[in-house]
Amino acid sequence: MKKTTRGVLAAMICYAASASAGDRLLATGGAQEVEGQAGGGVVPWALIAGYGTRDQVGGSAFYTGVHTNDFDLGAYGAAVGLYNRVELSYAKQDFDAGSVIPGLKLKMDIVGAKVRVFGDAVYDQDSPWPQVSLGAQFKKNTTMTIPTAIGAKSDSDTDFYVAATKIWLAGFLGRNVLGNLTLRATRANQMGLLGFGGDKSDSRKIEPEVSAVVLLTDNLGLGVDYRWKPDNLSAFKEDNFGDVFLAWFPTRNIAVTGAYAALGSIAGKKNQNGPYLSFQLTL
Amino acid sequence: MKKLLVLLLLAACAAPDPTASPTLYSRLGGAPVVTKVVAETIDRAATDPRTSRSFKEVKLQRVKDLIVEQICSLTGGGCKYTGDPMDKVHAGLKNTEGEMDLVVQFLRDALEHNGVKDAEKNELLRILAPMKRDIVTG
Repeated sequence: MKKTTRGVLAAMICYAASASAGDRLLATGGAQEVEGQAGGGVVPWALIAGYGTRDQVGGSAFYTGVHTNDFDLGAYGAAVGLYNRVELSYAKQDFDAGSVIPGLKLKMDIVGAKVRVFGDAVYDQDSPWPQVSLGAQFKKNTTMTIPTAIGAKSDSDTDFYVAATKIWLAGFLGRNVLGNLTLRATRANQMGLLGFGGDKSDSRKIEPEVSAVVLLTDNLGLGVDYRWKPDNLSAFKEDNFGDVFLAWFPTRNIAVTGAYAALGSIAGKKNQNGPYLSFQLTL
Repeated sequence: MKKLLVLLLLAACAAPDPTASPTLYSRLGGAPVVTKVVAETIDRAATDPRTSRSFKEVKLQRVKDLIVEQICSLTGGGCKYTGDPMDKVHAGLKNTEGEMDLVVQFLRDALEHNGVKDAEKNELLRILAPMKRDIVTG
């Protein structure tokens, strides 16, 4: 980790801690998805990270590792939730693609911003309306030699999305259920790890992303994510992402998410499936 | 004859329907459990320094009795809630979202502590959740 990154992460965590931990209900800040925003495994949700209420500042920090047949992805970062209204996040992704070209590592920085527009996913039980947020992810790939060689058009871009999240208390066999739909405008190749845009298409497309979670108990959620993705590069076919996860909050402030990720074809290697493990601190 | 028919109809109404599912109130454990759950929740809320502010100068027993009555009325227990509307009760208290969430957590803990199962706990919370709009006034 670079010094500046460490500094930013530490500052964010200290800020969240010094502003006192939030009082929102257990697990209502979600997990941190692989791009660093409050969500599931690979999908950002409308929830604001951390436990801060409308009068409080909260936050979270995470590390996620994904190991597939041919690749390793590490992601880490932190998010601050301001007054259950605005979420700001910073994350880094390190992708080990040594199986394609020995020694090849792809890296990306992601700055995230999210604003809750309306709704209360937890309390609006008498209303069909979800909690709705608008979000953006500013991404910069700092290892563009290979992505450029295979036809990626740019090293950075911004994804925009709208996310709707709703919780149905006692929604399924007496269990609480969470549903999420996110529509993302993106031209990223493999989230941006292979750059942005390509020979097949260089404009943003709107891709849906969905999650569903059943809370087996108040602190244990069994969920699925499915994320549609663009396919911009003729050199390497790109598939959708899916995962099945179990998120456990042994205490209010600690979450562990174990998942099985099905990431499809990546950089010419088919059927990239494997375990996903994530640790999160939440304030 | 007409009178008899009316009587028969009335009797049919009064007879318990064997196919009807038990009310949430009875599945929660009825008056004994609901009374204990409410007492534990309010005692904790009135003691915890993070939430006690709103319970000062309040007759706790009266609050408990009215909440039991309200839960009974909302969950098919057959009571009539005789207290003031929720917005009127909480006007001027300036309750925060954080205080609300903490008391909800106290209620969850008390329900679990008294053996209420997840399904009944979640159903009760679903019924009570929209009250947040009237309770959080800060």
